[in-house]
Amino acid sequence: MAVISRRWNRRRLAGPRAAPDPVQGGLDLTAFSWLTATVCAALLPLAPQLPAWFLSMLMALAALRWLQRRRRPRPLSRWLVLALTALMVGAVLLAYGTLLTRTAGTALLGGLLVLKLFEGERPRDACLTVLLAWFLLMAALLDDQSLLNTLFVSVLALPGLATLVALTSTGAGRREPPRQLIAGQLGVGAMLIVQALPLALVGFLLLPRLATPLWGLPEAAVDRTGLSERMSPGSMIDLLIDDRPAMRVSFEGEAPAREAMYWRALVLTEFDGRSWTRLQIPGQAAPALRLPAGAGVYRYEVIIEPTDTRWLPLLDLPLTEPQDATLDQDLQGTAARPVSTILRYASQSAPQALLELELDPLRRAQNLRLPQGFNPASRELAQRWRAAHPDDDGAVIDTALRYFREQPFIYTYVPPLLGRDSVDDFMSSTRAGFCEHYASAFAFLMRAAGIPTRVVIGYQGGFHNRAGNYWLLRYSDAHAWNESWLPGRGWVRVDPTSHIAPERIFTEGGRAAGRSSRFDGSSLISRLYQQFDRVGHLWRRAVLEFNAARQMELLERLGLEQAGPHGLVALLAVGIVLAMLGLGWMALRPSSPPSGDPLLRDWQGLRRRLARAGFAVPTWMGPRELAQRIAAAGPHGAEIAALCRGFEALRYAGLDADQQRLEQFRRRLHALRLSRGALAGLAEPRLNSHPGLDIQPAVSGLTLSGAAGPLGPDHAGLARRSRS
Amino acid sequence: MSGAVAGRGRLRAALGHQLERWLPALLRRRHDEPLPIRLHRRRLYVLPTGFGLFAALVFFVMQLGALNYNNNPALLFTFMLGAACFVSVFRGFRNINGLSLEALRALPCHAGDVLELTLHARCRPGQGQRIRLEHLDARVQADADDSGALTWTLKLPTTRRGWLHPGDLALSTRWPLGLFQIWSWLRPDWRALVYPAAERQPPPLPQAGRQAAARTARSGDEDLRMLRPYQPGDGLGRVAWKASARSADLIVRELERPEGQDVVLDWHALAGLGYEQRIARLTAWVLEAQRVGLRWTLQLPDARLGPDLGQAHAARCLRALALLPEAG
Repeated sequence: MAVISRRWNRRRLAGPRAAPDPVQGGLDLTAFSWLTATVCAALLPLAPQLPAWFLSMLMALAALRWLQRRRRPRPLSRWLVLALTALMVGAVLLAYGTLLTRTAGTALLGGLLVLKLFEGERPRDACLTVLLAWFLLMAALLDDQSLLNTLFVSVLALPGLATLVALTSTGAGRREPPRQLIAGQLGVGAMLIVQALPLALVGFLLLPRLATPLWGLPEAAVDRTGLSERMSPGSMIDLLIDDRPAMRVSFEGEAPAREAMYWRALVLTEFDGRSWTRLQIPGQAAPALRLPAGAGVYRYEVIIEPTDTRWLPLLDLPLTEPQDATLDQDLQGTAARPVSTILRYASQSAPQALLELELDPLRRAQNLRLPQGFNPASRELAQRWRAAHPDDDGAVIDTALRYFREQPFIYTYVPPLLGRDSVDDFMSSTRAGFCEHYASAFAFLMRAAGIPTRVVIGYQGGFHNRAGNYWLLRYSDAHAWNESWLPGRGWVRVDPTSHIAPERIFTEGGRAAGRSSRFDGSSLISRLYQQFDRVGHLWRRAVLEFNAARQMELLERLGLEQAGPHGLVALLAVGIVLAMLGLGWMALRPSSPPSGDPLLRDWQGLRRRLARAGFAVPTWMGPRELAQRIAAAGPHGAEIAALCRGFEALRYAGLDADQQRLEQFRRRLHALRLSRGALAGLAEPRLNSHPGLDIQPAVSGLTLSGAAGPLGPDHAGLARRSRS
Repeated sequence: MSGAVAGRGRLRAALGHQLERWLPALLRRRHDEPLPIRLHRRRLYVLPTGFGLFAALVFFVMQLGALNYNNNPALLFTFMLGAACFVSVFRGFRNINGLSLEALRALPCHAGDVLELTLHARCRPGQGQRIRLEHLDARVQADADDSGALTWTLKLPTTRRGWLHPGDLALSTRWPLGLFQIWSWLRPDWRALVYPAAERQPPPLPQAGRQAAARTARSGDEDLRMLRPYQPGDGLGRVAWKASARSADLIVRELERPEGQDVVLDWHALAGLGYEQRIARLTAWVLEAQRVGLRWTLQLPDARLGPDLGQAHAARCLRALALLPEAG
């Protein structure tokens, strides 16, 4: 009742025939159709997440509602909407068994979006629905950041814009055919997007990025790969082919050489014949390091991508623990909490420091322990080396490395599978593998030869971003190497892989050499795939990896090294102002001259052509007079006269609504060929000789209005005569 | 004390004047503006609508989310949408910029009736979509046609005779996305004349008029020379229906009457009535006299109109009545 009386009041205030206010009146069919399209578009990217039946149900509901609304534009009963809401919740429960996980929440949100169609009859509801749909689209990008998905989602945002355009255009206005109307509304939306691109780019490039997130990442936002606590043959392969960034390091002052850059994360001591794992004994305090005179100390800051583990890779050998982290006896950095967000930590390291000069018997035993009954051939090989150099551990190590170097070992990402005696198989038959194979084999051999040895895994090398002056380490930079304990020198790093595939360590981008991909061929599909991969890579580099560091790099390129975040904000403001000036100019620029009446333009065009042909039609001469005058003139006379009469009929007999006749007139007009001077023979038309005595006043009154002076009285008489 | 108050008043007036100069048409105008009134960037103002502010909030949240997850595609997407929404303000501005209010037109009406006010404007071709005219509580929307012409019709209730100044009008648009409102206040220098209300059931016309009316009633067999074709403005009472039925056109009786038969509608003869009641009665009589096709004279306190007949004379009389000064 209250609703009715309020509406009545409004109508009275607005006057009886006031058009409905766009914010108050109902939705017209075009707007509602666009709204339905917006909702369906927002559901599409959810397809991989939602069960097919659920998505089909949502789409079917939307379609049903559209059909119903088209037939009878009235709101549905509140009870029906309520029942549908219950149905929706039930369906989500049926599909997921809960409402509380992220996917179930997304499904529910999609369902509510569809229900909005059932509920909303007012433009206000429609506006909110559009915003909600856009929000869902953005959420879809959180799951899949690929170029294709981004383009797809961007296109799906268009119906929302068109909905808003349709909403503000609601009401009686221009009567346009529906197809043209729809195209126009979509066109306005697309044009807005195009005009928005420079501004969007400025904002994207210059908006200062958050160094640390404000709240936690959603579960499974990115599928995490990372170093694992267990190393068995082939376990690191997922990591090695993952080109996503793992961490970025900036050094304060000097940086070590690339080949000396070993980032220590985990130390694996236990070996069960197949897998290497960490020592289960709780960590003790970090041992004191001895720094030889003149040893370089490097200070650095690491920004690590979330890994959901606690290991913090540190440069060999770390001297201090990062904030909120500890260093244990094996110099593994452990954070207080799992790294679930981007984390920044600082530390310092000295590669030449001496670690654990005294090795107590327990730890010595731990680092010599080997499972019984595995790899007899390798054991025998190691004992042979030991026998050759009974007192010289260093010489044994050298022998082993020389063995790797001189025997035909291959570095490859796709090694043959290894059997139970994995080290034996590797050493004698397959002789192909990557870092973890070599590290594992080397550690086994050295332990068999009586040298305490362990496996260290972490990252090696990295890509030096010269402009940004930081090192980027990807997951594919993951590496496994060894440490052997030598008397008087402590733990010494040995990297057997570097003896097999030096390029793996010493060159940037050398990794690809060892990788053989399914798509490395030169067939058309392979080439297409490679192109696609290249575009994807560009996207990754240009957009996905754009972060605070790259932003600073951009500033540097603009010559604003010292700008910092404040400078960034200032630059952002400048960019926005510039973009706005451009847009403002576009808004205020004078528009093209009025197009006027197209038929009249055709007529003026014909007059101009006649003038060029030598017959200047005076302003007072109407089409009929012209036709009479020109009919007998030359070869074109009849055609021109016909055109004049055609124009007269179209313009004054109200036939211009007839599209077909209009088209015919245009075709004839365009077909007319007049050479220059073709009509030059015609006498100069004179006013007193005009043969207009039988002209209908309705026609002459309009065409002769410019020359009313001398003709006025005459025409008045004409009018009288035609009446009688 | 009073000096200080006066000073403050002067200050406020001066400030208002300055403000009007710097920011014309931000608020309701003080001065009438001659037509045509062209809207240009100096007098167009822009503010986000409620929905616009809400959309900004949503975009802010979306952007915060994208920033938080360090998700550049989402950030780019949000920026693109947000910028598109922002750019709509320029589209909207272009839509209304350059529009000029060219003419106002109203058919005469009597006090108490609804005045139908038509406003004509012209805008640049291709622009002028969804332009809203606001006047008091009324809102009317219009779209420009292909040639750029816009027309709004306002229904204004009238209460008093005399000049009706429509006062402040606002032209605004929310096109294309409804996120921004762009508006300008106008105060066209134009007024409509509202005739006085006619008395509902007036007594019959004074004596002479009655005789004449009786005579017209009798004159069914008048000479054909006294007939002429209908012209716009002839009262229906003067149509010779029988003669018209024989002809293709409407035929009207041309009434020739001696001077002495004129009706005199005399202000002073109505001394017993109140001021406005006299006006109402005279108005009713003028209408009646015109309807039946009499020749009449209107005697007002300081003017005498006629004797004459026809629509133009009626309009003159009604205008004079409408513009009589207020009582007292």
